[in-house]
Amino acid sequence: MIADSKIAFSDLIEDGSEGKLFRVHKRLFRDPDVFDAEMERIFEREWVYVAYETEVAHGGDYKTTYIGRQPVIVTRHSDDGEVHVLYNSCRHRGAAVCQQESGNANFFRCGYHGWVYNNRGENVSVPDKEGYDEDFDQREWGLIPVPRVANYAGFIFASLSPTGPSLEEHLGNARQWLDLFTNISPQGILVRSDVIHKSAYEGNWKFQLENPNDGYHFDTTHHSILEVRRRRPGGEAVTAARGERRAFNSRGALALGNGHCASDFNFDPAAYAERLKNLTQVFPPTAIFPNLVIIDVQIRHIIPRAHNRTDLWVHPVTLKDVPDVMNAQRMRKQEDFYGSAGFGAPDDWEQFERVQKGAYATGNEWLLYARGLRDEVEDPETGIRWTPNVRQGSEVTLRGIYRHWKQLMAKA
Amino acid sequence: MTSTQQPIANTPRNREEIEQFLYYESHLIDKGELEEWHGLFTEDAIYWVPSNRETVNTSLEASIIWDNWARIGERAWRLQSGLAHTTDPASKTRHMVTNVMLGEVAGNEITVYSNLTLFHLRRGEQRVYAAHCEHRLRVMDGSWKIVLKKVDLLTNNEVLASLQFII
Repeated sequence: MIADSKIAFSDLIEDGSEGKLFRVHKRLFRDPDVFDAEMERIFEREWVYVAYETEVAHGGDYKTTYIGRQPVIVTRHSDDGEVHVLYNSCRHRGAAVCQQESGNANFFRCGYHGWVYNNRGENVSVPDKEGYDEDFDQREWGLIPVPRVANYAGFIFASLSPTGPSLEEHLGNARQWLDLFTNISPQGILVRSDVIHKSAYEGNWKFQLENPNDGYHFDTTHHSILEVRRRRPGGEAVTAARGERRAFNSRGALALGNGHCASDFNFDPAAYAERLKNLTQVFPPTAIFPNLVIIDVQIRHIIPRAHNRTDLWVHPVTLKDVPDVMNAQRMRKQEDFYGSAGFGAPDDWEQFERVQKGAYATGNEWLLYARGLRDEVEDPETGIRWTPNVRQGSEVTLRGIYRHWKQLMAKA
Repeated sequence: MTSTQQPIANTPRNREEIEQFLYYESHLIDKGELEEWHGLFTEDAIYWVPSNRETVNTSLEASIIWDNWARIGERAWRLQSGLAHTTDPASKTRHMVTNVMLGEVAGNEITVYSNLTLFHLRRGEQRVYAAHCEHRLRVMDGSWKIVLKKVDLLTNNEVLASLQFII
């Protein structure tokens, strides 16, 4: 792809200005150089989701994850009770000091030469320290904390850049969706680091970020589960109601700004709150750029591994202090559609893998994201963009993702 | 095993019968005779593939599969409906059942443990899964039915590709 590399990354999005279409170049999905640049300019610079606070509820709790390609440990210190996000790399020779996905520990001991750190990263032991020169100061050799950590509504985010917008500024309009998700139970929600549907597909990470707010795909991609549901007792009525809702659901397709988007089917928060009083109801698709989706009963953490490989860590969320039967219903909802043996999500991954395959076909290098383009309007107060007149499958949400991508990728 | 449990199990005849039953179940899956496979289950049956570990509280933790009798039927139907994109192209499987051990007996039910090696082929790629299985079988009208099929995948806590076939 030598010829490709002459084009600036930000020119790989045609943003619909000057009467043109809104198009995305296939290099966004097939080019390892684009992936490397995304890691540097987006994942390893901007705010990314790393954990929900209940995953590290108690002093000593920890989980390991990634910020872009970089391994980190999310810990809660036993004494100060604070959440710390530390690079999972020994200061001596760089070995990862924590091997487990989650657990509870006061210390992390590097298995290579035995350096020991506490769970806020301080170096507490260097074996045979006298072998170093006299001015060796152990206190200077702690695990490095990532530059910024912040929590909104229990969602813990980190940024590898010491400067930039605050988390609140970054989340902007999306904050009310995070609030809504965590407030569906008065006592809050419970996310566990050891209850996960872990899946992978051979395709680019952006397919998963797009997909929940791509209302256009559902009937075709999910034909099989729609038919399973229609055949269930009472299924005909459910199918009919769904048909009516479809007629106007694109009004609720919202580009929230900064790449976040949501599909609030009625564009009416009051109606939402009413619907969600039935706590087993599904939560509408909401994507927080670049690696978090909240939808139905789950928190979905997108972990990009390569331009053509993505891991998904999907946490089914339970509600605190509600009868078990209610949480059981939520778990059955999760299993119905999601997980590797579910009846819905694997059909999405199948499409992602097909798009990945098709991305290598030249002759048609630009992918179309133009549904509702000329209908798009911006709410002057919030900056939320939406399409009041598109009947079905507005792509205003996806354009929001790629407009933000274009902006971030222009910054070397 | 106490003497009161002797009548149903642990006789050479039952052991052979039960092994033949497990092989027959695998045969139906691998041949794609999924309606017949569904028919092997009792109406109070559970088909269970836990996620993350072998034992979970299904009220608070999602499984990879937690199917009651109706949903086993839906799973079988969907995989052969021609509507699921994950079945285009189709999957082929080969189930190898080994290490069969007869377990506890309670009334007219017996628990059977086995190991499963499962080869899955789709789109030119073959994947191998290993599992420990627990079948609870009930004698009904002189034949065996499945009350519980629990499959503990060795990879239940790993990142998994699609499992769009009967395990």
